[in-house]
Amino acid sequence: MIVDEMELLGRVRDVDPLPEEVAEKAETVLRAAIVVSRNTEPLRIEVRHHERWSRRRTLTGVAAAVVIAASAGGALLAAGSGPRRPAPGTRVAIVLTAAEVHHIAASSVLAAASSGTAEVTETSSMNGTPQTNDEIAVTFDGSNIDEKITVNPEPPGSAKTFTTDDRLVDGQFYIYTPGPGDVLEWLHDTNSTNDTASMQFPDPRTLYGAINPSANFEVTGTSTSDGTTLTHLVALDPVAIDMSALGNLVQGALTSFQMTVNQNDVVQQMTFASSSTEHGCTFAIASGKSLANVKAELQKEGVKLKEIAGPGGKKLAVVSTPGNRWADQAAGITSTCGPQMATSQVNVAFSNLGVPESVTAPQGAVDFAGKG
Amino acid sequence: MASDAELISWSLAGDDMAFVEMIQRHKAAVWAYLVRRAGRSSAEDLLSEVWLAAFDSRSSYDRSYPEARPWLFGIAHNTLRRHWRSQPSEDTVADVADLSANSDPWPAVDERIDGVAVLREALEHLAPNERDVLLLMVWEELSIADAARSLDMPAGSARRCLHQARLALRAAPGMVALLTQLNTVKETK
Repeated sequence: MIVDEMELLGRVRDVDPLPEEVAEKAETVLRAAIVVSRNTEPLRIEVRHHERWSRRRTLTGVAAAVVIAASAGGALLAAGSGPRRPAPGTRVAIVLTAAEVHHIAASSVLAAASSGTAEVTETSSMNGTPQTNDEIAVTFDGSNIDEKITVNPEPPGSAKTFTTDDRLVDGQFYIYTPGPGDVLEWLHDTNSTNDTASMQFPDPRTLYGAINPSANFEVTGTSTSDGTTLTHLVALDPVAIDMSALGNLVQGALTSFQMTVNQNDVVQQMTFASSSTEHGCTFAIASGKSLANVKAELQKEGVKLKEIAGPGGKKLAVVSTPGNRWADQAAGITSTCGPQMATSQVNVAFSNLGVPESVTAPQGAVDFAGKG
Repeated sequence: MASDAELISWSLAGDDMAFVEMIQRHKAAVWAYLVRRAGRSSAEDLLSEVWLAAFDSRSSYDRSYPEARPWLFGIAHNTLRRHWRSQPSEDTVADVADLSANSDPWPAVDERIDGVAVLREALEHLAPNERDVLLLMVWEELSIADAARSLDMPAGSARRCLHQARLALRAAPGMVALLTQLNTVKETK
């Protein structure tokens, strides 16, 4: 037979067969995509703020809308060999491949699809001064979610610790909050329709959407916890992370994103931080004689004022143009107007993934017509 | 056994695992396609991207075609193009050189002639469409009609591309000598 160009090409067509682990990883990614897609289309939701949200957030108005691709459905446990890990005692820069990052995201989605828990801590500061310190214990059971929220005062001891509970069961929103007479009771929002937006914290499983190869995850080390080897990863390019997956937990720019994964490539912990520079003025509060003094002083300086009524008597809220700085301790005012550096940090620790949990509607919840 | 088109239909109707079953039928072929064109390392990354892209676009699958392999090659082709846009251009057919180490297809070739390099050079100089049609037929063993379907072009155009590719390959520098050498070695055995 004459060897022609077609025959010649045919001689170099053989390749090594598809390795099982590569096939499995790719299929895991596909299965995860299928699980996520079961919740029809991504939900576009409006974020509403509860009173317990930090003053900073209420004032500055955080992201008005986020997209959450909720995950639900049966668990399809993934098996994986885990990301490459540096040998003990070595310091070798290992940046995960796209396939490895996809596998971490997919394995995590699958592992958490049915149920699990997450412990969330969320702190924020303004110009270095702590503003909020919230702890949220999340339990998820399919698409039902319970969030036990503890709002710690900043500075510690300056106010009572505030606790509440948000719950979403079969699309209905419940909240454990002081009702008439300041007695804690369960309320049921009769206007709620699959009210993910009412929850204080997004379904933590939606955070897996932030795990993207373009962020360039580097292995920074390993550790052992309860006999499980954990790999620590840090995003070299956190700005490449899809912010919509982090919902309203991020303000401004993402400055860091780290995570810890177990041997099955399932995320055990995520920590991310963000910062933003805001222009404006913090609240200045005064009443009675102080109020008159403040108004006179500020008007002299040409500062624009807005007076509002508060529950404890007349209050004054000062709105100033950026750059103005003033303080009047005698009048009981401390305030700084101008650029404000806001930072926040969120830590999410996952546990009990795939372990059956039960989130049910609270008994005796009182109906109320919420914002829906 | 259900056809690929039926599995895709079932997937669209809510039987998600039907799509996984369809993928499993073609995973080896798509893997080989990716390795031949982008090398093994890139193929490992790209395989899951092909599956995701296929799943996302399954509603656009023309169910008059029972077999999905050409469609999957088309999706893999588009995935590769995105991949190549982020890579140096000389990497596009680096796999041909990679193959020589393992498959050793040149036992009869005189050592003075670097056959793989000649072939690689010749392939690089083909027009992209011509190279795509040629390789889909020779490496993926598609018919001209299926190659055309993969590349979303009329069958007549695919035939023309194939013809042009063969002519260009034969006329490429070094190819005449290489083919002569191979046929001479064959005859003298």
